[in-house]
Amino acid sequence: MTDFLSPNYLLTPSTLDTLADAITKLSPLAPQVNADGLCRLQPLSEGVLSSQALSSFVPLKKVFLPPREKLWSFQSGQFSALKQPEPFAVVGVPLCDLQALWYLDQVFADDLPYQNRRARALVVGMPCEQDKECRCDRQLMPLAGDLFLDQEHAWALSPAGEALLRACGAGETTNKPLPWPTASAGTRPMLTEEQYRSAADAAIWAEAAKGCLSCGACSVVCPTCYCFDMLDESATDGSVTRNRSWDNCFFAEHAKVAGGHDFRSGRANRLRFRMEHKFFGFGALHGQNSCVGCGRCRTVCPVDIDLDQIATRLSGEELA
Amino acid sequence: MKLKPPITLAWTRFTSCSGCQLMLLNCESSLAELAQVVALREFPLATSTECKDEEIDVGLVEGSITTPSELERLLALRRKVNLLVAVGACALTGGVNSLVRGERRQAMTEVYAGQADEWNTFPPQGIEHFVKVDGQIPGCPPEQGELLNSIGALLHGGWPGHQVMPVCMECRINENPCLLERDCAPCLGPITLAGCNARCPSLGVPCEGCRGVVAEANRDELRRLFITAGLTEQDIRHRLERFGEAP
Ligand code: SF4
Ligand code: SF4
Ligand code: SF4
Ligand code: SF4
Repeated sequence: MTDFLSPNYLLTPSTLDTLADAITKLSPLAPQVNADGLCRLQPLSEGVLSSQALSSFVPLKKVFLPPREKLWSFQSGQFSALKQPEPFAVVGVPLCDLQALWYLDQVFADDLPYQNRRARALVVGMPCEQDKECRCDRQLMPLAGDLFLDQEHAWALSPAGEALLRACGAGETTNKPLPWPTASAGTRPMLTEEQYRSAADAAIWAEAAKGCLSCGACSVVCPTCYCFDMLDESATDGSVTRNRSWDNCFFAEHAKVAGGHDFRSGRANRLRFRMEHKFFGFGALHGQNSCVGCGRCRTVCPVDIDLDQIATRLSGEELA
Repeated sequence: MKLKPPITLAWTRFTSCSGCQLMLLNCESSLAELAQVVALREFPLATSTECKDEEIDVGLVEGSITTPSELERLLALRRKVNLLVAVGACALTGGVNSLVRGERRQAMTEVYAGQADEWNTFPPQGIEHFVKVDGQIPGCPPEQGELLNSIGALLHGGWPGHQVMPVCMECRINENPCLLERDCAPCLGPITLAGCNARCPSLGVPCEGCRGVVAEANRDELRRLFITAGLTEQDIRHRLERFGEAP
């Protein structure tokens, strides 16, 4: 997959410094652990090179698909134009989030606000240390981004990344593959779509979904969840603003349509739906697993709902 | 139905603390603009004039109904307004006024001693108990943005849409540490309707449930989590009773 093709450059200390300066100018965001113990993607306080990849509570997607955003507003017959963001960088992105970025790039290929931000971002991956919840797998999907950096090497993941590397004086290439963690903490369960479909009436759905609070946390933290709702706001000055904000398929109105009909009533159906999306994808991406194995959802879920555990039970194997 | 500005609006207060009115009054930067599109016929916190119109576009109701005379006024209001909107927890569910539900007699005697019987009151109720309600603006107090947007939507002949989701969603989006998980705090976020941008949990205070219960709330599971966190059945009942949501 993509990582074998990424040209890799050997970096001298001076090239590395030039590169770090160039990135610093882009007011980078980086995952950093705050005093309350939570890791957030936020403006970098230390140097670029001392950063490392960490799994932030809310993943990279919030940068390109903000939790709430104004899409347009309309006043006195005039639409307001979309604001172009300033160029910016994100550093310390773990490999799983780079895969998730690839997935979102496919989904939002035609989405102007998303693409505007993507076009102005320099996304820099870095090596991570495996956590006990990690089940990443390079085979799951390709990855996106611009650069991948360790202390001595840089991988160009995009033409923009490659141009930056060359501009900083990187020349000598090697054929080092991307440093994927070797001993994965666990493996993703092998669930076939046939197994999933034939278990439509299995008791496990209702059993597992019974405790779901529909709290929304699982989609907030999932790097590949992208559901949103669109709501209009009418101000007293007569202007109207269209907003979009994150949604979750466990919410009561996620599949409600005019007339009050609900395509997916009840939490058991919703859990099956979430599982289908994460394991088998929808629409043009049908057949593409959309879970990168980051483990965020099972860590955050207040009632310990774990898709991998359900998949393991459905496929009849035991989870590593 | 698109209303022609200025729309006539009567803010009617029943049993309440006037905090909802204060929220609108405090929207200083929008008041001049509001005055262009809204003709305020009644607003007790700003004027003692009572609405004398025989027909009104919109009635905004603050407060719970606790006396027969309040009930009469509410019915009269319903007859003359085209749209009736319940504003704030008191008007929606009874709000904090309904705290004494169940132990009412005892509480009356404690507070009013020998005069307890002189008060012709009944347990506080939200207005939907008695009349048709066309719109609801939840919260104790409601969010200013929601008040203004609701009036803005009325001007366009509509009513604002809302995401039906719990406070937890906003809390997680704000990247707060979860108080229920971290501190075993009795946070009502999982069953409370969002829209306040997780105001309390974002300040480290467990959600009190002032915006009312979200559709399809999983109360049983929250109860189980609370018991696991060390709360008693009585704690849970008191917690839910605060905004009139006791089982
Ligand atoms: S995090 Fe868990 S409880 Fe919350 S909506 Fe997701 S599955 Fe349900
Ligand atoms: S482990 Fe959970 S949060 Fe992570 S990608 Fe898979 S479904 Fe999303
Ligand atoms: S449908 Fe569910 S699983 Fe899929 S993106 Fe939306 S919230 Fe996530
Ligand atoms: S602190 Fe409260 S509102 Fe926030 S996530 Fe936890 S339970 Fe939900």
